[in-house]
Amino acid sequence: MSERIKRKIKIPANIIMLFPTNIILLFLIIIPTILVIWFSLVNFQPTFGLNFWESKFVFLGNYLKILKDAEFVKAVARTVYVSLICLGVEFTIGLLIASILTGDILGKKVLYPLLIIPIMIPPIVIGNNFWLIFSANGPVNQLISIILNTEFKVSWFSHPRYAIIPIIMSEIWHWYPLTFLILFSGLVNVPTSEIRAAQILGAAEWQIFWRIKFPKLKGIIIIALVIRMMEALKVFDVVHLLTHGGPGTLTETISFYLFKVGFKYSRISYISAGAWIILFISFLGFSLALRSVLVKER
Amino acid sequence: MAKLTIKELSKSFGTVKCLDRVSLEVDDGQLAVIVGPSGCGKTTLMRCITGLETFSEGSIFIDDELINDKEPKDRDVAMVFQYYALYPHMTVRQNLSLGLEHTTPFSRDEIRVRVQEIAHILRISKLLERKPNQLSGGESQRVAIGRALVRKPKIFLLDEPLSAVDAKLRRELRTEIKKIQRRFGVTTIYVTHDQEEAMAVGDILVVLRDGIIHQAGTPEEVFNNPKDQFVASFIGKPPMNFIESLVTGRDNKYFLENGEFSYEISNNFYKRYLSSFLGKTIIAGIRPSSIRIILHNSSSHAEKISFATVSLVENMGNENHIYLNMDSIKLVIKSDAEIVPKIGERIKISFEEEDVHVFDMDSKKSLKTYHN
Amino acid sequence: MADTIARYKVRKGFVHVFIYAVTACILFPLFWMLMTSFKPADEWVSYPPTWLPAEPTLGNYRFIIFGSSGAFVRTYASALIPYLNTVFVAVTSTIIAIIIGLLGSYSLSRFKTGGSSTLLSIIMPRMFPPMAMIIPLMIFFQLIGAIDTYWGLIIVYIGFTLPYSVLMLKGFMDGVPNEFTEAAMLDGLSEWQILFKIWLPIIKNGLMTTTLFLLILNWTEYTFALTLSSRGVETITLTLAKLFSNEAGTYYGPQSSLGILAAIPTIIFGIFIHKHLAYGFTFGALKR
Repeated sequence: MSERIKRKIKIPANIIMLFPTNIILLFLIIIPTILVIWFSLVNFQPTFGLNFWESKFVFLGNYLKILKDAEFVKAVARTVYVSLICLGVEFTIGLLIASILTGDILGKKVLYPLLIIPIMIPPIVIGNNFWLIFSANGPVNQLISIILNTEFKVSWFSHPRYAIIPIIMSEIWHWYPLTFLILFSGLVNVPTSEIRAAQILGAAEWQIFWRIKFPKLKGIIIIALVIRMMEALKVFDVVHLLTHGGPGTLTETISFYLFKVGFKYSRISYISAGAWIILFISFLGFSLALRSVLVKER
Repeated sequence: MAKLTIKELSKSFGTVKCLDRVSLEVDDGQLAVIVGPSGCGKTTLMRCITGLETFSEGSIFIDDELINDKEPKDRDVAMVFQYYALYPHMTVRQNLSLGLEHTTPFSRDEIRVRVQEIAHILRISKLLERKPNQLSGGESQRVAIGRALVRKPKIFLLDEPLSAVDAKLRRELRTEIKKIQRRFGVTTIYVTHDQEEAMAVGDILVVLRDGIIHQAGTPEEVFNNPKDQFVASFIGKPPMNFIESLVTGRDNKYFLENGEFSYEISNNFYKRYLSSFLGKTIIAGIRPSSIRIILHNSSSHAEKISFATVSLVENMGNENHIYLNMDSIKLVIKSDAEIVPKIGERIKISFEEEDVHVFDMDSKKSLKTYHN
Repeated sequence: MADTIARYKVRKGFVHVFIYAVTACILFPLFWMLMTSFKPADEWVSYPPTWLPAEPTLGNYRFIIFGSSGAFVRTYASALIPYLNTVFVAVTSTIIAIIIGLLGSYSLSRFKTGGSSTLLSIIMPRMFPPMAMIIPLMIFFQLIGAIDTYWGLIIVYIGFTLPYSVLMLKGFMDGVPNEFTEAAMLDGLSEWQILFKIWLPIIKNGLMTTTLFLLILNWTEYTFALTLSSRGVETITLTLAKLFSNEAGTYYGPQSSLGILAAIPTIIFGIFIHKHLAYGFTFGALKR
């Protein structure tokens, strides 16, 4: 609303400040990106023995090929599906815990840091961890055996249907603190005057929650979901460690598929095209989501 | 301490003209109050003076020096924001010192002395080590004033300083502000939408509406000689009564008439102000304080009596506001607290000709001011 | 009246039990890892699994810190150096990314340089699957000689966390009310001074939060470390992976110990600033 004075000095401060960001992104991102575009448009495979700038042009050939690839499409669908599940559960858990912890709980100062810990653990460690827990001789099987009163000794990571579960659980475990923190600070910062007024008017706890607190968090929630979704789509580490995409290709995510085809089979051009398709889809999705937040500025 | 001159200042936000050829002169040491309804451009005007807003046409001079292109920090102006804007992470002392550190070559000790001085004058010495969130409303305001005045600026501006304060505190604080201004003698621009505040505080009032100055003058001038209907209605509480009247004449006598209401005006009055309006409708204005109730047992031989019916009585404690109907004309008058007529009662009222204001029906300008 | 109080207390009790149970479940994997780190080799994946080590040992930790002893098939170097490497790389790249991010986000927030398109273009790199960037980056780095170097890895980390740095910091900066900036302008501060003396303290919480987030990302990064610097700079993520994928069986024990040791710094930092986190995660959408 207020008008800022544009500087009339020789080099505007605002350009200078953005400069380092731009330079780094330029070198680090743009140049490799150009290479990736190049790769996607040519037929480049390191095993050919050619230098990469001598590869043949195939233009959209790679794009078409990969779009027809059933495994690629399945990997994309699977990743989106898994990401959405993770997002949904994380959001619910985060919301639940956040709303409980804003209340009057004994020992919440201790609980709060403890509940945040999972996000600080390196994914590799998490992979190792969940491998142990879900291993055939591990405590999960043990607990389920006790509950079901029969011997339950499933080999989770080679099971065609269950293999995805440890992956989902490890992701949720790892990332729920993000939604928890965001929702918690949002809830904590709601101006108390409105809450008081509602309490005086006799509103129930959950009414106060849904009608007053929740709507204020919309902008924050969108940013949180966008950030989380961006990371979720790229999940790689746990898949690589726990199931290696298996059994077969049943737990392959986008990143893992690109990794497999790109590194194991050296089909660089192929995966470059794939990556661009992913970027395109993500970009569309996220611009839409972020638009509602970006326009919200002063 | 300096003279402020504004010439033909105009500013538009897109197609909306926010300020329209505003011209103003404030002398050294004067407290000028810019008053007007919300959205009239008074805050914008003030921000143009500080340099926080740019404008498309016109010029601003401080001490006859053109400052149009100067940065805010080079203009030697200081402002108290509506919500004080005290830096929350700094102590009061640091808040006060920051401006001096960056606009003056003073040493640390010199700054310390200055801060001490002003804290003493404003009676905030005890608060120097506190943080803004530990201050009350009144204390915050004094700190905000201190932050502005410690720099001894040429122009001191206040943006609706009392809007965030409750009514009782408002009276106390506005007196304090006036005293502080007198003591420092700094040329001050004070913005408010409250006309009572403006009247109490200002040396000169500048009545602004929709980006145009309607009148600038002392409180007495603005109250007694409003230049147009807007100023007349805006200044004064309760607001002036307006009666649309037809100027008529018969048998060498002249009248203002509206339905049953018929008020004889002297030939003098007619000749001076209304001579070109015979047979035309004008707006007559009379302040509530100028209308007297003629009591039944009064023995005065007041000539210009009218009758009106009481519709509502507001008991204000030390006085009453009485709402009257005279046919379709609605009036409000003031009376002593003891006079409490009944609703529906028919009473006699009277007012003097010299208290009558007349305004042109179309231009709304005062015929008294613009008479030939 | 007494009835509702009783019901209230029962509900309170239930909520307490619930949240404590949830916390216990959440901490369970960590508990398991901690226990495993003290277990001797035969207890790692024994059946039925032992919840507390029957014969607790420090052998795993010794393995990590001093390298392998005779009980293991291959010789492994101590994990101390990779640990220090990770500290150095993560901290350095986080600090630099924060500083550059501060400048960039200030420019975007205060002056709205370039508008929303600039912001989106800065975030875009993050949407790109890193897998596809690997080969081009490898080639590029090969050309400029940045493979297997500290600064090469640091620059990559900076580049890929900068979008988050700018996005998050900008969000916090958007929450700074105009009046402070204007008061500072009248007080004679330059743009740079306004950023560092006024805005920075005001968004302290958000700054801490962003720093933690970046630190976590850099500390736990695997893909780029693997491809761009595995020979020159070994980070603990690589060490962990090495322990996992070898032929003679997986060293769960040492891995768990290293996992614990790897998790500790970020946990400590997080606990250190957790108070700020409560206010930091609003991204400036709510003004205090």
